[in-house]
Amino acid sequence: MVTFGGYRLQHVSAIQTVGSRIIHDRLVPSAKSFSYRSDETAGGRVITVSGQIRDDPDHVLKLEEIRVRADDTARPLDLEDGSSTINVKLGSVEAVWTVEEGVDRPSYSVTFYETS
Amino acid sequence: MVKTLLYNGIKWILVSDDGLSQLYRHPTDPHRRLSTIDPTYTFQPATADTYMASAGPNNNYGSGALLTVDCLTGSLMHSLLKFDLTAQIPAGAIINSATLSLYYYLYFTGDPKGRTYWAYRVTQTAWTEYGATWNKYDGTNDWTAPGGDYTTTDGASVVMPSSYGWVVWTVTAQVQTAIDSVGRIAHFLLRDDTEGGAQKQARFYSDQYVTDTTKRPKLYVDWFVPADEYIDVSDSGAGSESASIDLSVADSGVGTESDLSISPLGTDAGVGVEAVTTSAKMTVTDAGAGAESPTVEASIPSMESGVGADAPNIENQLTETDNGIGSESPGISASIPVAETGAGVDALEGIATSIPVTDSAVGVDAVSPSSSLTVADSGLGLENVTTPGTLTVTDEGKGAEFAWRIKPTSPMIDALVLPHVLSIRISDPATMSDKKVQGGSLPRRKMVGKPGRVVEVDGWSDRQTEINALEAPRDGVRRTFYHPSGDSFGVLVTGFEPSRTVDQYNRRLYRLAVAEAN
Repeated sequence: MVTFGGYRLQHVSAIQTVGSRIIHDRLVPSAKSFSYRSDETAGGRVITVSGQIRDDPDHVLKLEEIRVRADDTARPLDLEDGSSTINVKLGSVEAVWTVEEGVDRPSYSVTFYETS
Repeated sequence: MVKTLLYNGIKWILVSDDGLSQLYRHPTDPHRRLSTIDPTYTFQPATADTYMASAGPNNNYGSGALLTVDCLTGSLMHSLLKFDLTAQIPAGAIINSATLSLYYYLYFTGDPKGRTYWAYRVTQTAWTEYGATWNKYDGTNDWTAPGGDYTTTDGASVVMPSSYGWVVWTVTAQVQTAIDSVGRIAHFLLRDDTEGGAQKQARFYSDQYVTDTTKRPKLYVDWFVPADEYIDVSDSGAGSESASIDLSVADSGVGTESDLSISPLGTDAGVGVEAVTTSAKMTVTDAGAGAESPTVEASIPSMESGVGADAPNIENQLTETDNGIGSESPGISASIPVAETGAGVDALEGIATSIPVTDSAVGVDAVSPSSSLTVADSGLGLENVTTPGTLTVTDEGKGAEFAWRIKPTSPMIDALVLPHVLSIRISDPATMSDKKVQGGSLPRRKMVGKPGRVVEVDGWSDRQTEINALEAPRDGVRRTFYHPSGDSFGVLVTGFEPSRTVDQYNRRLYRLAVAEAN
């Protein structure tokens, strides 16, 4: 189970983690073909969790419970995959209803941003 | 030869007889008829039987296969028999003849031939087969006289034969008494006419005899039921017919005179209420002085048709008994059932409904009529729901509360239903800003803001009028987007893209984009 600040995300089907570093580019005005680059610091990870709201006729309320947590507050994210708990902020939330999946089973996707 | 039947003091003349039922006519009034049912039945074995011995005054012999009668001094024996006639013979039956038969199979010590054996009517009818003894009738309570309580009033006797075989007592009067006043159960006690002296013991088979069950005790009864006395008026073909019946009740000066009943001819099917009948019964009780106050009982039963709601019926039974002082006040109790017809509101005329509220003396007392509110979706626009009262919303402490929701089957922009929706995508993006931390491994991230939800609806339509209608909301006017799940929020329509081509079913795909706006 994936929990965010103690809130359990339902029926998680995929977790995507993207790590990055912040690179500073400084263009060199000459015939040089590429700029001068320096690694300034590490970027925090961006984690996207996808899942589905199932077996709950009030799926709109479930999505609303997720949305209200996108409040610029860092909370611990536990992926329960053996990795350490990290502090993240919830950013974007997306939900999709399709005829194929059934209007009572929306898929959702939420994006977390690791922060210090 | 003319066959007649004496009934109610009239010698009725037999008209027809099919073996079971008979029809008689009045000897002088050609219109008066009397129909009877005249069956016979043999009751075998006895419902209960046993014998009692004075030598073993506390012994019960109910499980024995024999019945005995003995006259030996100090060792007298009586036998008891009971026949339950209720299953065959109705109340009011008139007994033509009845015979009690016991199979005499052995004598002991002395031959009882030529002796008189009596069948008397038992007066203590609570005796039991496995409880009766010489001293007690049910194993607990004493007979008034040891050896059994009986009356000699209508006893029947036989002279014991010299050979074994059936011994038959004619017990017509006793069976008639059983029908009239002993609950249609006949009780007999057998004894020797002259008790004392040398032993003369006769033995008969009882209801426990299994070798030949046809030799168990039996009671043959021939009875008839005066089913109806009625007036038969046949059309003579000329002029009007007339008939009369004498309903007069002669005052005998003592006690109650016979009841008089008048009812239309009907057949009792034995199940449920028959067709509506009207019957009347008048009882005249002779007080012994002056005029009497008759009591009239009337009942009008209604029949349940079994289909739909029957007209409200009122069953009443009016009984007026003269208490000898002033006029009587009859009481009528009535109820009006109202059947649910399944459509609309069923009238409750004349019935006031109320909800009693008990004052607890503290604060406001709750009134909670239970009810349910069903709103059918017309498929177009908003439904109007009117609730006469207050609507309570309980705060569950999480997220947004939804006091009510409109749940269309398809998404809508205001009242415009989006046709043939294939998918709905709602994005709620957030704009994040990273601020690097010198020497740190993680940036400090801040949510700059949320521009609001963006909705993309994919669907199709095969009608140009629908495509045209979907173009219209893209006019910069704030509208309401209704999600099929019940969610709704204000939006601006930002894009509508119908496909330029059609598929093999002549359908055009479209994508409608809206952005949340306050």
